[in-house]
Amino acid sequence: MTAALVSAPRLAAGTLAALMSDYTFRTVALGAAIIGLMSGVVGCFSVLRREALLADGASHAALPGVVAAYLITGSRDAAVLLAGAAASAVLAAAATVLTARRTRIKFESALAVAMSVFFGLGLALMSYAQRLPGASKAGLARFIYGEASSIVMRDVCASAVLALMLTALVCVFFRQFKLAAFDPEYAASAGLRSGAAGGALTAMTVAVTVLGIQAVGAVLMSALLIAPAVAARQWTRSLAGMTALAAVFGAVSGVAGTAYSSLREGVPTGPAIVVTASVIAGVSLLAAPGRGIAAKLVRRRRLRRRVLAADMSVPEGLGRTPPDVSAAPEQGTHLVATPDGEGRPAATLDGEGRAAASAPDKDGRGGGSDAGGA
Amino acid sequence: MNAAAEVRHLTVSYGEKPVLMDVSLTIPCGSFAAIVGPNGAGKTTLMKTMLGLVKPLAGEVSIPARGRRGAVGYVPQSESIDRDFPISAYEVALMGRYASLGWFRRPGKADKSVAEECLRRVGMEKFASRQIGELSGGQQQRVFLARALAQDAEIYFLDEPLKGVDAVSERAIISILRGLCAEGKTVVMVHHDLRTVRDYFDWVSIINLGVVASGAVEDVFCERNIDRAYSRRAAEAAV
Repeated sequence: MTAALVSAPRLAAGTLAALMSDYTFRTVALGAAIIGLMSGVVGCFSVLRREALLADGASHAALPGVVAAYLITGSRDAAVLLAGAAASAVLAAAATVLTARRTRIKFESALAVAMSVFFGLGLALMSYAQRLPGASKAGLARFIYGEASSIVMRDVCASAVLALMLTALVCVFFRQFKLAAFDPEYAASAGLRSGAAGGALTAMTVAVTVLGIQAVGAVLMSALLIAPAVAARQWTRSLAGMTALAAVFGAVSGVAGTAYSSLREGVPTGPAIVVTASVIAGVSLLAAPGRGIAAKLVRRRRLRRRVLAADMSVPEGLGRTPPDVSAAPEQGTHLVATPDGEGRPAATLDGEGRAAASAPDKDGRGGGSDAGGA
Repeated sequence: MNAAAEVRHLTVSYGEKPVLMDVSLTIPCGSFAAIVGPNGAGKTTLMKTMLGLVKPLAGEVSIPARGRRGAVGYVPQSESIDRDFPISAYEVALMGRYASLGWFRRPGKADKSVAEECLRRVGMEKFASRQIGELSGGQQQRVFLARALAQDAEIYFLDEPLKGVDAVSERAIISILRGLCAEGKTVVMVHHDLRTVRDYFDWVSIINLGVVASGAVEDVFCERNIDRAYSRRAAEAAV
């Protein structure tokens, strides 16, 4: 028993060392990490601009392009196939945008249709191509679920260059991207060309999505954009922090997912990477301080206890409340309290800073009933 | 009389039905102007078209200040932003300085102190480090006003800045805007409360699909014009 416990970490360490010394694994893990990093960065902006769905559409729509590129050129080169993927993703995006603009069909509906049509077309083309001699060796199927092991050193170098360019772009124009994501209408009104920044962000999203389908697959690629961003949002209060953290989460997911799929026979890399990213997101949603579900529950219970305790000493509470409200007519305390018509509870609790400030907007109804019931 | 904003024969339509029809009006420099009208009259659309955010079907808008970057200030309705965006009130105010920075220069010490000063002017300095989503609607509105102030524009457009704002902050906001007009700047504001038009503004445009009346408050803000604006839709529906 003890021997097993002791040897388990040693075994794990040994396996990890064995993995790290393996050239193929190192290459693949590095490639997956780079893709994860880029997805994390770009994903933050997609999520905040509510364009996460677009990434999903782009990755699905890339599939027919891959097969068509193979059928036309006969090449197995990843660069050629990905160029085809990009072309069909852009085509689908253009069709979606045009449909949404020219008809009364909503953007999401148009996207859903374009995505299904393109993906369906991709699958149909795929089954036709598979019957051609030599096609199975081209490994087209890897683009559906992803197969990181097909990544070679040349792919890693190419994506490293792209990742560097992307990081440099985001660092230099961070201010512009932030404004374009936060309030594009304000930017346009002030004469700042937020359209260019927004367009660049969309282009980057499509590029990263298409690049990622080789490792992660068309079906799941969008999850790698969304999950790290969602996870990172839980831990930070600034966009810069969120972007950096999402990059780390994405990269870690890439490496961990690759490691898991190399250790377990028959587990494809794409799902392994995406499951890792989702676990990180799930833990973050639950356990992050401040925004996590657990922290919110604790805070709410504490607040409730204080409201109840305050109500026990009604005369004192009543005696104190009016001066509290009128004492600072110009200050924020007063302003937090009044608009919701819940002046009293908010004002008495406001000394508690964040808890009180978030109470009126998110738990407004619940907080009110608490106070009323007690 | 120099015009700070002029609109000629403007028609705007999102679908088949026009939202604005043949709107022509002038807003003189240095005036504090209200755009009033019933719900769905096209007030926000008129403002967005003037800002160049909505493309008109026909007609033209002329705002000389649009020639200089950052010379047009805009305070949108607070519902238009994502409350979950990871950004502090101070960062939002600092965005007002972006227009004067150009592409590569980062905000310097002077910009930062302007942003802080503008937050102080709207009474939000204590909330500088708060996340935008942690603020109430009225507080967000004031942070957006601070952003526009930080911009040091020549003409300000505000879309119902008093919505969800209590009486004390309403007075504070109005006195800030009056101060801008006193400096020779123009303020255009979508306004809902007809009772305060006479007290606050010196220029008013009453619209409902078209312009019902537009001019100095004492000249055009009368019972007859208001009735015409607020019953036209009802009359149309009855026909």
